Amino acid sequence: MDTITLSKQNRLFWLGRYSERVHTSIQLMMEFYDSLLDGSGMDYQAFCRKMGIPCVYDSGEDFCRRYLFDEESQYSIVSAVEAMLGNGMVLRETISSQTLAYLQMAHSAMEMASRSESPMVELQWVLDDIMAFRGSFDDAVEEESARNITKTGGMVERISLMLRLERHPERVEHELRKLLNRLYKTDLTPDPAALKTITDRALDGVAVDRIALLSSVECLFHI
Amino acid sequence: MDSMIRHKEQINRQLARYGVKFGIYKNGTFHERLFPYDPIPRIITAKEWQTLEQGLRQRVNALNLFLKDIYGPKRILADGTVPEDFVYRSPGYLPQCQGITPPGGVYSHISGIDLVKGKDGAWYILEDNLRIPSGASYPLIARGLCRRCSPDTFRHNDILDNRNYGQLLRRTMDSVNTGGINVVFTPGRYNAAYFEHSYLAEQSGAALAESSDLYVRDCALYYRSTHGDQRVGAIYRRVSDEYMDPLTFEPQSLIGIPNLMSAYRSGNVAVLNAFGNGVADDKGIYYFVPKMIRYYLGEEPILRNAPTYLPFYAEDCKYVLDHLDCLVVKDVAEAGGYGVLFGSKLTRQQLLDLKAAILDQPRRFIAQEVIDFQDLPILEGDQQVERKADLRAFVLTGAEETVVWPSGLTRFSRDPDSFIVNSSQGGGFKDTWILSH
Repeated sequence: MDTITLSKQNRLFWLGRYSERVHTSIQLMMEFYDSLLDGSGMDYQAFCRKMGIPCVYDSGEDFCRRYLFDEESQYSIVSAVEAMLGNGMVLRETISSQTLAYLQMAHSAMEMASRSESPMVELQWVLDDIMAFRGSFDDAVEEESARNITKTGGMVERISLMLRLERHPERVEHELRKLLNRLYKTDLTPDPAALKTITDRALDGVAVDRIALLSSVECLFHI
Repeated sequence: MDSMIRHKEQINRQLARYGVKFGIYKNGTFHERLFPYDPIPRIITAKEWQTLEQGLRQRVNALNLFLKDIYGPKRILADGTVPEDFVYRSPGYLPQCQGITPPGGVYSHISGIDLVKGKDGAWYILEDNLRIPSGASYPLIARGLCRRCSPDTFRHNDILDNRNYGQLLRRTMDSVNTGGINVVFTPGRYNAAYFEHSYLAEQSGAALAESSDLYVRDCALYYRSTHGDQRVGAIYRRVSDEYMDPLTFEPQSLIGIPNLMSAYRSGNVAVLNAFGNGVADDKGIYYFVPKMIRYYLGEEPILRNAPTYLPFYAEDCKYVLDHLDCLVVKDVAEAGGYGVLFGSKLTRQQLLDLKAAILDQPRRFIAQEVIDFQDLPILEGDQQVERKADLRAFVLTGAEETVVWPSGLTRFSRDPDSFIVNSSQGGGFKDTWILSH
């Protein structure tokens, strides 16, 4: 049985969150990029407002470029890639070098994308590497609790993004149920009030305000 | 060999894939760089290796006996073989370790011995690293990747397998373990050798821990785990002595473990390498290692030191001052290729300043003849060029045996005019093949 410290628990959780943030955000940016080709433009100001990040971009093109690749911005996707790899690196002996290599490759693909004239091609590699990472992670990590902590982190991030961006509201309940199922397979201690709100919404269909639900998801773990 | 050269790019891509990097701080900012790898290996024949292996084992055994003596009865000082001044004034000597016998009686468990091969074909020891020598992980991971990229090369050459370093390390830790888990202790993600710390933890099956993961209770070391706290029996620390225990050494250290020294002193945890080893790898003590071998083992040294002079001795001082322009002078307090001055490259004024410094603090310097060591071929683009290279051999000492890892880190200078091969100064590395016949 693998030995996991409390600090590793934290990193496993954030590894899940960052890998999901990168994955979902890149998929979104691919949609945005594509819409720019037809000249239909995009409401990047609304995006920033919903995400709660400063809107410092001049145009849709500027947003696409800098939200993806600005290394100086803590909100950019490249910073999330950095954080994803950083959390993975300190977990090498838990997740294995083989698994870590996929995060390293995603990081390298992101670097290549930032230099490319067709960044979407390289960004596809980032997505592929993250998917490969997930498969390898599942295979390599011996302890079930560790695996579930990272998956829980990923689910929290996914639901958080869905609620923030108001995307796929019809799937929220389903994702919340998945989160609850996963949560009980970890050693994590959830916040009782946040857990009750999520349980009421997911299992009993109680109507909960979107912001209140988002707040409960974000506060579910004090990690 | 051609196959290895043809696959240079593939090998480097594989190294990038696995994040084979080292970190450096430049202008206060942490940067990680890929460690440049050259595919042309250093090749050592079986016969040559046999001598090296015996000589390295002999040297490390003598150094361990020296440490045991220095922190114990100090016979070698009483007998006048080593002057007291070189021990008590060494910054690596820790009076706090006086009288402590580490578990298994081993002080230097992982020793990194730097050698060069002279143009006369002889190997010379350049320095001993008995504190936290790094570098084994690079040839270890590179070998596996090279075998993948160029299988024919390894099918047609009888090369000793070096991929057992993780097991050797584990065996060494287990042999001195006082009961509990093995831990690799790292200062954290932003340490220059973080890749190595995490990779060796994985390879040896130890838990990787930072300061906040460990604590001392009732003179024993514990690891905070989600399954309850676990006792630590051996800690392979990759943090310098002075930062390891703020209650014993540097009080401002935030990366240490308070009270670790009490657990160590009580014999409840093995610390690899032991505290206080710096006294034996001090550049000034280097001069005395051949004498130690004769003193403790009653044997003639198998491997030679580079011809060395100690300005501490009047006769040596005169020689050094008279020949300063053709010697290399090393500041004993420096490491990592810093504080190394080649007399031939100094201006007249710099030579005068250095002479004054030597006369003022003779104990601070050693001087060595410049060894005309063999260049090794490396690839620069498509061209093969010759560069200076050294070899760091790794010697592992457990409670029962001393083993020399059949490999090593060959570092080379990328600057044609430089003898400095350290990675922190832009050097690269290559694999070291030990032939089995």
